[in-house]
Amino acid sequence: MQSQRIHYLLDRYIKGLLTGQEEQELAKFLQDPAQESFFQAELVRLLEAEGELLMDSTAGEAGEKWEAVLQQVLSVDKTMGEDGVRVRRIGYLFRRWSVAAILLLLFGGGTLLFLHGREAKPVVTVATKPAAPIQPGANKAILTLANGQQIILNNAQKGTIGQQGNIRVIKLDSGQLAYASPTVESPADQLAKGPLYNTISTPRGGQYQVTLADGTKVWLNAESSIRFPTAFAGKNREVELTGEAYFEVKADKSKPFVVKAGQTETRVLGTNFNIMAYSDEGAVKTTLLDGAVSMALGTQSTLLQPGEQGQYDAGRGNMTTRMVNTRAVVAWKDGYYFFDRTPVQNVMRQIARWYDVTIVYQGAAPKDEIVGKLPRTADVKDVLHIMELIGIHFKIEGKTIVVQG
Amino acid sequence: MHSRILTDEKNLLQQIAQGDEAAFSTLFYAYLTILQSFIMKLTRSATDTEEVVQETFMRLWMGRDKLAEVRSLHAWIYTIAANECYKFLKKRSSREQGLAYIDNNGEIDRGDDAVAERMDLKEVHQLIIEAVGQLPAQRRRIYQMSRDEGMKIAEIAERLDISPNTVKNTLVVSLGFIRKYLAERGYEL
Repeated sequence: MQSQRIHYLLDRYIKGLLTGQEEQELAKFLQDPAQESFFQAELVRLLEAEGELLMDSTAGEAGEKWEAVLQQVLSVDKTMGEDGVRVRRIGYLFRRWSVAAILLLLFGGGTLLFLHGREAKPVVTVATKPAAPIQPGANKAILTLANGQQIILNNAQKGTIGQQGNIRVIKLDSGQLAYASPTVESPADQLAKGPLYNTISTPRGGQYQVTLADGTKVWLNAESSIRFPTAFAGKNREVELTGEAYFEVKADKSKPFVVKAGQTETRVLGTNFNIMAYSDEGAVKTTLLDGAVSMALGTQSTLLQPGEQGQYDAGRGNMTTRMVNTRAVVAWKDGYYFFDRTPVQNVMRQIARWYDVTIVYQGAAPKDEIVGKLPRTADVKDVLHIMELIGIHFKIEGKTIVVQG
Repeated sequence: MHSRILTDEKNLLQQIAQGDEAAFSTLFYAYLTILQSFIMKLTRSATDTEEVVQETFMRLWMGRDKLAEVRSLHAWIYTIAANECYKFLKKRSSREQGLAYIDNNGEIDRGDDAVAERMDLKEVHQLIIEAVGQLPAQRRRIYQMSRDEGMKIAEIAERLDISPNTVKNTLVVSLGFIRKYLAERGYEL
C-alpha cells in the first residue's frame, strides 16, 4: 500500500502536480526511515524508465561544466597536486555555495528570497542594513589632460567633459574620448606642435574601458594607468602602461602599436593581448590571445604565439615564455576572477587591489594554490568565507584583512 | 539491454577497478545523459543536478574495486543514483520544513547551514588525505604512486620490484581502509 502511495506521490512530484496536502504527505514519508527501501525501489524503477526513454538518443550535453564535475570526482582521492603543492579548489565550493550566496547578497536589500528549483518565494522581510565598509571595485578612473587638469571619469558622463587650450575633450557614447578644436589643424601642424599626452588612471577598486584615437580598445584593471597621445601622429602608436590592461588593437600594418610597460616594450600590428605589469608582482607578463606580438627588453626580443605568455622577471633579469590558460589571464575584464593554481599570496594581492584593502599576514603566509572562478562583484566577506571553507582564516579590521597563519 | 551503451563493458570495468581514469571518463559520459535528465526532473535545478550527479559518480569511483565483480553495471549505477536522489529529496524536504520554522519565528538563516550541508565533496577529500596519511609507509607510497603520480599497476610493480598482484591487492586494501575511515566519520560510500 505504502509502496503504491510513494509511487503515486513521486510520480506527481516529478510532474509538478502535488497538492499542498500531498506535499506534506510526501515530506512525512521522506522523514520516516522505514520508507527508505520503498523510495529506493521506486527511484530505481524511474531511472530504468528514463534509461529506456533515452536509449536511442545521442549523447547529451557534455561541455566544460561536466568535464569539471568529472575532474573533481577524479581528484577527490588524490593527496596532492602534480608538483607536490597542495591545490585548493574553490570553484566547486563556489558553485555549491551559490544559493547561499544569493541569500547573503540579497540580505542588505530588504527582501530575502529563498531560491531553489524554479520558484523563488519571498520568505521574510528584513530591515536594510548599513553598507559594508569594504566594497568591490567599480568603473571609475581619472583623466589627466596635458595641462595637468584632472577629470573624474565614470559611466554616467557624456559630451564635453573638459577643455585643454581651445580643444574640447568629448566623451562619446561608445566610451571613446574625442578631441575637438574650433579651428581645423592639418596633421602637419599637429605634428609640429608635438602630441598632447593624456593619462587615464584607475584607483584601487577601479577599472575603466577606453577607446583610443586609432580605435584601439583598452581595458584598465585596478590601480593602473595608461599614457597616450590624443592623436597618433608619429611612426608608431606608442602608449605607456603601469599596472594591468587588456588591449584590442585596431589593425594598422603601417603603424605598429607599442606598449611600454616597466622595462619591456610590446610591439604589435593588430591583435588582442593582456599585459600585467604591477610593480608588486615582480614581473611583467604579456599574454597573447591571437595574432602575433613581439615582447622586447633592450635588444632582446621574443615573438609570442597565441596562448603564450612572455614573462620578464625583474629580479632575475631574464625573459621566459610559457603556455598559459588565457581565459584565466583575461577573466578580470569580463568581471570575474579565474584562479588557475594561483598562489594564495597572489590571490590576496588581487583582492587588495580590487577591494582597496591592505593585506597583513600573521605568521607564515599559506603555501596553498587556489583553483576556481569568482565574480568580481562578490562581497569581500563572501570571498573570504569561501577561502575559510578551504582552511585559510581571516580577520577583517577596518580596511585591513589579516591572514591568519 | 543497456549493453550497447558501452562496448566491451567487462574490460572497461576491469580497467576502472585498477584506477584507470580514462576508462572511468568513458563510463561517466556513457551514463551522464540518463542521470542528468532524470535528476533534473527530480530537482528542477541545474546546480542540484550537478551535485547529485557528482555524488553518484564519486561513490562509483570510490567503490571502483567492486566494479570488477559487478554483474549488471546499469543496476549498480541506478542503485547508487537512486540512493543519492533519495538523500537529496530528504534533505530538501527537511530544509523546507526548516524554512517554514524560520518564517514563523521571524528569524533569519544566514545561509551558513546550507553551506555546511553542501560541503560533502571537499570534506570527503580532506578525510581521504587524513586516511592516506595513516596508511603504513609502503602502502601509502603505492597509493600515491597510483593516484598522485598516475602510474599504472605494472609500472609501480616494476619500480618497487614487487609483483603486480601485490600492488593490486595493496591498492584494494588501501581503498577499503579509506572507505572504512570515511564510514566511521559519517560518509557511507
